[in-house]
Amino acid sequence: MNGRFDAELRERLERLSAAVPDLDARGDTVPIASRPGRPTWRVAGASQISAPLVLVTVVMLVGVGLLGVRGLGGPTTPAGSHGAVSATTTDGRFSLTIRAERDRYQPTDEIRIDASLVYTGPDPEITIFHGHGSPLGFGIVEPVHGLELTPGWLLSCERSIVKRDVPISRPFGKSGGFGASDPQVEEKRRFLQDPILRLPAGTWHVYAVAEFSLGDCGGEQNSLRAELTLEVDDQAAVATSTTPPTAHPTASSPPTRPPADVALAYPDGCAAYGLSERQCAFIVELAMQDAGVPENEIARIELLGDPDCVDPGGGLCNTSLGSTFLVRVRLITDGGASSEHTRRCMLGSGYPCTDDPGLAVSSPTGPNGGYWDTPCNPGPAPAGCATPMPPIDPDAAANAVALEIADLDIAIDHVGDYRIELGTATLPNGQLSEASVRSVSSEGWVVVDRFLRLTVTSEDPSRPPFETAYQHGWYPGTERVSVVLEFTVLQADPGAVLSLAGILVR
Amino acid sequence: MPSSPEDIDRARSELDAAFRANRDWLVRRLALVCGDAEEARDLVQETFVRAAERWPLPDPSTPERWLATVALRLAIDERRRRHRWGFLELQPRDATWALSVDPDLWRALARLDRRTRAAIVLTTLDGYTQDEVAALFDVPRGTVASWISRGRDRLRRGLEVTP
Repeated sequence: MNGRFDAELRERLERLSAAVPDLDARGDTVPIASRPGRPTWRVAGASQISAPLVLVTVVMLVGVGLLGVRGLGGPTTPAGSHGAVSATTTDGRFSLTIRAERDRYQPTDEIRIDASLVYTGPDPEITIFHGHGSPLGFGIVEPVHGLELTPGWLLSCERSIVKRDVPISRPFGKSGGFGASDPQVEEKRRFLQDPILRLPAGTWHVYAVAEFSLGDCGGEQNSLRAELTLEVDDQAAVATSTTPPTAHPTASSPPTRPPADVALAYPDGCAAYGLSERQCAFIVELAMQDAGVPENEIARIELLGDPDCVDPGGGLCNTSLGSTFLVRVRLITDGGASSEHTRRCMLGSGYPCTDDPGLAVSSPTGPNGGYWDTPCNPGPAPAGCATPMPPIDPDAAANAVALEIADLDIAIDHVGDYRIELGTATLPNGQLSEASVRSVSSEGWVVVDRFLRLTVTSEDPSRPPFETAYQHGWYPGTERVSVVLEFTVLQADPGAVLSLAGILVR
Repeated sequence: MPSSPEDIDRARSELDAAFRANRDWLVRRLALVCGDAEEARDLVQETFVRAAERWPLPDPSTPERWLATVALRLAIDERRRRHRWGFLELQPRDATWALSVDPDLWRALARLDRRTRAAIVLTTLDGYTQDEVAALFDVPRGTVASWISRGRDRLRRGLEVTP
């Protein structure tokens, strides 16, 4: 049966793979940074367009944090009434609710919507990882003025701690995209920039989504969606419309950046581009590397905006085909020569793009490791699926000793490898049930290569490694293990300290 | 690093050939792994940038292995992925091409993490062994076996195929 499944899976994957569209549409080339002394490659016959700026897409995120969370709560009322309406989707330990003050509006009415995410699981709190600002986003199924409103986040990975039964909320914010050559570009831009949601007459399906992962940015993905149906009608009998369309705080304009062609001096101009001192210095350093010009030959450094931005007003106009514009650095040498270096965040952009060093710990029992997966092979037992692990012997459990370290501070005094012996633990019947670190943070900037690795090794050299519970297998009595923390520091501020809390191996 | 004009011409020619031979294949595979054809194209573009910077590759006879390794690591590496959060995984609006071909499989794949998708795609479609996938991701073979075992179970359930 496995063979039949494999064959079917292969056939279907091949069909799917073959359907990937439009492979040549963007005229991808093999570009190379203009590093001195290196050849410049370009695939013969390929387009001279420098990817990825064929189509400019504008993503506007407005309204977030400006409208404030309004009192849209109260008992759920079925859609169709003129009172508050809501819809809730529950998936395991999380519930997503979208609410509106009512379900019928006039075209001039402000439509107030918010969404909230609630954790209802067994722990007092849980850490989730999500895009910029919030795990919550909004969209409208039907195009509005020809514009598709879909959830969008600025590129980053942020973490939030969600306490059990305490909702995190977000008011409706518009996000969507349109092409630079769109004939309705002005109308669409105005609509996106207006923080107030008003809709033309019609039936609208407004939805909220919650997108986040557990364990880490690339951990277990969670996605919830909840949708409301709203009616907008010129003749709607509106029960509670009281807000004049123009009543809104003046602080509603979207974030702005300097005009693209206005040069700001470094480092004073960094803040205008939303860059921290560290990010800005890193970006300038990269620009100097790209230019191949030593720092002592540079007379002036200037910061400029995105020359490809389609928003002449300098709004938040920084996203094009998956990359986010950060800043353009102009280096002017003592001899008067100048070069420009645009820094965008896309994949592999690394630390110019964030001030979060993304410290994380990997361990044998960490997320996605599959430590407790039951191995299955084709055919019946014993070659087939393994039987469940036997229960732990009570005597072994009584004699087991966990390794617990409440807090650990590590002075980072060099760049390179670190190996810290944390101690020992004894495991009942050799069964590792947890190897974890509750939190890791740093005082000062510390960049670690991938992860801090919490390794567990048996003191009996004949024992298999702790890769999966089944591979490690059963051990009579208790098995003594040593616990080591290993990591490689790539970059660190002088005097930086790594702080770990809640180390537990049992 | 090529130095003479002849070396540069030869390297350029080899890179051109590698691009032509592997680019579409990589985009197709990565689209299944990352769930978005556009992102797949970006990843492959980035991969070839890196290839060009390092050309000639350590083993010039099998550039596809090096390219697949770099491309998949780019797609999966946690530290890098966190910069791409604005683009959600496997949204139906990004994948009409897939939903029109095999919506059930697409949705079942969407429920797997990227590494599991990569392991299943490489072993099922391209004949990679579990050891090769393990080397590619720098993890033990047992871990890959677990990914594949768990992933296949979830796919099977998602596709409602009786084992």
